[in-house]
Amino acid sequence: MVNFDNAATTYPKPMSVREAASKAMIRYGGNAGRGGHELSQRTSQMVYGVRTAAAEFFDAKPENTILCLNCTHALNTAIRGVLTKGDHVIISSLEHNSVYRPVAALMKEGTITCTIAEVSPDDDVTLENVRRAIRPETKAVIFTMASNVTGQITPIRRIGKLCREKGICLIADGAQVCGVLPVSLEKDNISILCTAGHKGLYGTTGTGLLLTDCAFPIKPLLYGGTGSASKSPNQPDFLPDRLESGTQNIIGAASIGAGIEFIKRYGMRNIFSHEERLCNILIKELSTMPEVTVYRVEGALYVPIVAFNIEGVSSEDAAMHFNKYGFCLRAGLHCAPIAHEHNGTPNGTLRFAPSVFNSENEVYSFAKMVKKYVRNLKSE
Amino acid sequence: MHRCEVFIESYTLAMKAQRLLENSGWKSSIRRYTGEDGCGYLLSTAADCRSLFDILRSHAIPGRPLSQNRRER
Repeated sequence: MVNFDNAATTYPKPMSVREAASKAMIRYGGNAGRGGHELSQRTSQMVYGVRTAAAEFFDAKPENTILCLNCTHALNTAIRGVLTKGDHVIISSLEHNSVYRPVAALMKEGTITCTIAEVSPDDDVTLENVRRAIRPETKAVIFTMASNVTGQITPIRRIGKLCREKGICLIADGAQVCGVLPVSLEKDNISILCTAGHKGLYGTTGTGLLLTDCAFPIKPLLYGGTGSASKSPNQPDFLPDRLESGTQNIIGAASIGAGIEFIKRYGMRNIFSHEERLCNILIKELSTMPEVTVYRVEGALYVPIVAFNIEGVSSEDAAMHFNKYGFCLRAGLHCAPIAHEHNGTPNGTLRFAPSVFNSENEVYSFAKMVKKYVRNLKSE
Repeated sequence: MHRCEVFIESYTLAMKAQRLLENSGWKSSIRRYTGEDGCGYLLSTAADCRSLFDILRSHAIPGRPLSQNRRER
């Protein structure tokens, strides 16, 4: 089986991540930040080490690095935690439902209003679209750093600069970027960075991160036990405890730590170059087939994702066919209907998303199979 | 020999304080402690309280002194 669906979750995981998760089951069986005994202390120290590693990786402070369940959890925490009645938000035209739905829910409740800023292949135009959408009551700009459908990269640093000038909170969805391209809370002018732990960071599923510069206080999404300030009925007013109620995903935390270590050891630039090379091979192979449309626009930059369709066949049917031959690709809307509307692909696309563990041979084999499939479709 | 003990509610902040102390050449230990506001952590160090609180303040770590110079009391 060959996994080309790494934009959903990376698989396989590095050996070091599997070992760290396994070790956590054996060695870190305590409840972090709770008991005073050896088992709990040892586990707490491990979690603190991961928090510090993640903070350093994204230029944040350890205490402002929040362990979440996934990127959706992080985004919901940020969106619901920052926005209040009467606020206006700007989201991009490439957003995933992890942004679109919580924003839509707040709109339905009558809490906020929202403007969608079109993302253009020209960064100047995208920036201008955001600038034009700003109102006096704009509290936040919520922007993906790269589309999970096409992989198109957005000019987050420039948008962040604009937000800082205007005193607006920038909530960045880094799910498709973190681990593949350098991301810095400080240099990229991000107020709150939300990301998955199980994608480019190579952690286990059920992991995510929220990192904040604390410029915009975040109201908790969950309330409950934190192992601190226990006599008070109020949630602690300090991070990370304020936003981390309930027992942590200790095994997940260990896996993120090992994943970050893996990326640093392998080199993020090497990871990106390898995956980009695989994408370029596929694009070249697909370009020999007039029946195949690849959704890339000149002038735009992309993370290693290739969106495409085959004439006369739905993306879901094509993906089912590929699956028979052992190739795992995501099809359909990828939980991002507005991105597909923007892209002119209302019925969805196929998504090729390699990881560092895919090989050129796998891509050539896949391309050969696509060619055969297209030939057979024509002869039917 | 502990010269200063400080109550810090957050384990993360207690760990951060411990690392900062280490960087300044002071050894310290962390243990679970139930204080007036409930659960938290006690950071015990051989550093004097003034040095410790200077470090905590410069990194915005909230902590309350619990005891100072126990051996002298």
